[in-house]
Amino acid sequence: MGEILSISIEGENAKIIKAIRKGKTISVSEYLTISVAEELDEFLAREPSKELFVTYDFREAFHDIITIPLVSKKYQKKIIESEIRKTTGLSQFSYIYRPVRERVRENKRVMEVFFYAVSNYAIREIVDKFYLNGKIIKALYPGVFVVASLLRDMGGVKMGITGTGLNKIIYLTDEKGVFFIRNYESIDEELSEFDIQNINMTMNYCFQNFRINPDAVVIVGNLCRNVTASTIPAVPILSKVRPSNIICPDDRFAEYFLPISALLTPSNSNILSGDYRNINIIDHLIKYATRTFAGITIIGILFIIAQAVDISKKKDHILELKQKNKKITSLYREYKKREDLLNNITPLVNFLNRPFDDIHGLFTGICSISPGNLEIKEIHVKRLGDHSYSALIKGRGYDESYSMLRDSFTKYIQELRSIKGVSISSQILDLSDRSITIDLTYRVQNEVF
Amino acid sequence: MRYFDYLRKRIFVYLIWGIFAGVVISLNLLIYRYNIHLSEIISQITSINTNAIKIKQEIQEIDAVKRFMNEEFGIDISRYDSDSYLLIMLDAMKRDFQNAVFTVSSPQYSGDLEVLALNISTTVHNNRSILDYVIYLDSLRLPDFRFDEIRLTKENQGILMNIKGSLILPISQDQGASHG
Repeated sequence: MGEILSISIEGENAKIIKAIRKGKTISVSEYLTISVAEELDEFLAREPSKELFVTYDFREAFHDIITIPLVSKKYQKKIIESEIRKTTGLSQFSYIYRPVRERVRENKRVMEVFFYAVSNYAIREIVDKFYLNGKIIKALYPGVFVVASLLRDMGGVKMGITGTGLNKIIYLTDEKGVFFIRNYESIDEELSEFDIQNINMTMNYCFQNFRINPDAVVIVGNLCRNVTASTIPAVPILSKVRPSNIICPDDRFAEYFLPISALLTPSNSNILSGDYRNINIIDHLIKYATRTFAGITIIGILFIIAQAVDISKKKDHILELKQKNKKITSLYREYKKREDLLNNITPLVNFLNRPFDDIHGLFTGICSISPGNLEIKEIHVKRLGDHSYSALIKGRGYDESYSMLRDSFTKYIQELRSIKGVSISSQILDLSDRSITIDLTYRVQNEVF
Repeated sequence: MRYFDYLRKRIFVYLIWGIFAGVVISLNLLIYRYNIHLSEIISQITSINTNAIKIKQEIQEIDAVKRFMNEEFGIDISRYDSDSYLLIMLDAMKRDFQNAVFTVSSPQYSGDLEVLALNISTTVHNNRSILDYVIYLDSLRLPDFRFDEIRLTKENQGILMNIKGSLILPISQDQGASHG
């Protein structure tokens, strides 16, 4: 985590610290006190940290206890706002509030609410100085709430006294925070007799109004070292020492307890007005969007570089391939020349690849048969269709006896059947005139060239 | 309250980075497409290289077929014309069968084939001669002889042989276009 900047404007001076937060531990690394009028602007201009915490004691702050009817939390805030407006007469303001206690008044249950309000104009006077120097205020705390946040872990109701110069503030706080504030002008910067009287008076007032007595009066910071009063208040008076989770020298803590404690102050004590909170939100959105754009740009540039390297390699590769391809042009020309040739060759090759109807098998067979005593007078072969023929064989027998004639005819038929592809359709031996008629079909035994 | 007064600088930076990012994204798209285009070119050139081997093989095959046609059938493929080749073959047949009577009709075109109807009549004296004719005609491949009818009739002076058929030859593509 980076350094956190916290500034407390105390009178004419601004006390500045830089710290590192690790969990609940605050480790303070730098301390600086500058003049608000002369050096603050210059400091803000040169300071690289963009976000900071600001503590300021508003002189024109309004604080009081108001009574509101018991309503749901949804309406509570609006009623409180309306009551503050009525009480203070402010039209635009920011405020911090906390319910103090429930009471019954005129047979009605009511809620007493403590508020601390500051006009937006007063906030702007402080805050603009930072925003116009390009800074973002993460939280703006009234000084009294920052001091009170130190007393939370002490438990019980505590009264505190703080202030800048002669302006002193007495406050009452418990675990939930501040619920009573009284401003007065002291006669001395130290804790004097006059301050003790004021503490006692305030205690009486609180007892009368809230029926509450604090356990102790707690003083913080340099006020602990500057006590001139010889009397003591009605309750014990304690000095708040540096908490163990704040790591810094004790004397530094005494001097810079406000900007240091601001880092531990709860966010419900932030009095920054709605407009500045909106600016903070928009600023965050813009910041993240800008970072996203920057990220995209950087990744994009890296990608472009990677692509450029790849492109350069590919271009070299293409040049190499083109060199190799020079031979292809002449090869292609050769092929083009043969393309017409291919047009002539293709039908011839296809023609040669088709099956041929060779008939010589039939004739070789017929011619090789010895007819014996038969005389073949006529052979008539006709194409029947693709790959098949019919053949009509006519003749005459010269055997003396019919049985021999029959034998010769049968033998001739058998020999015809033995020719591959031949099937006899009909066979007639006419004994009256000894004529023979044989009808056969021949199926071509396909051959490919 | 004017938020812009407070956020002016950040908005300006935001816009600048936004423009940078936009330009870089556009450049990326352009370069990416160009890169893809180069990859396609490489694959095309590589495929041309592969095809070159095939083209070389095809050229060799065409040359081999050309040689074969010339050696086997005496056909010069580069000047192939079915009309003239058919008549050359017919003349050769007439020379080989000097005793036969040839009756020829005009060539016909059927699809991508040229068909010349032919009638051969002759008188033979033995089976050997019959087979000589049949085997001779059967062995023809370019053109092919298609037997339609063979009639052998024994007469006193020998065997009268009458062969009806046709010489068939594929026409070249140029001829095919002209015969439509």
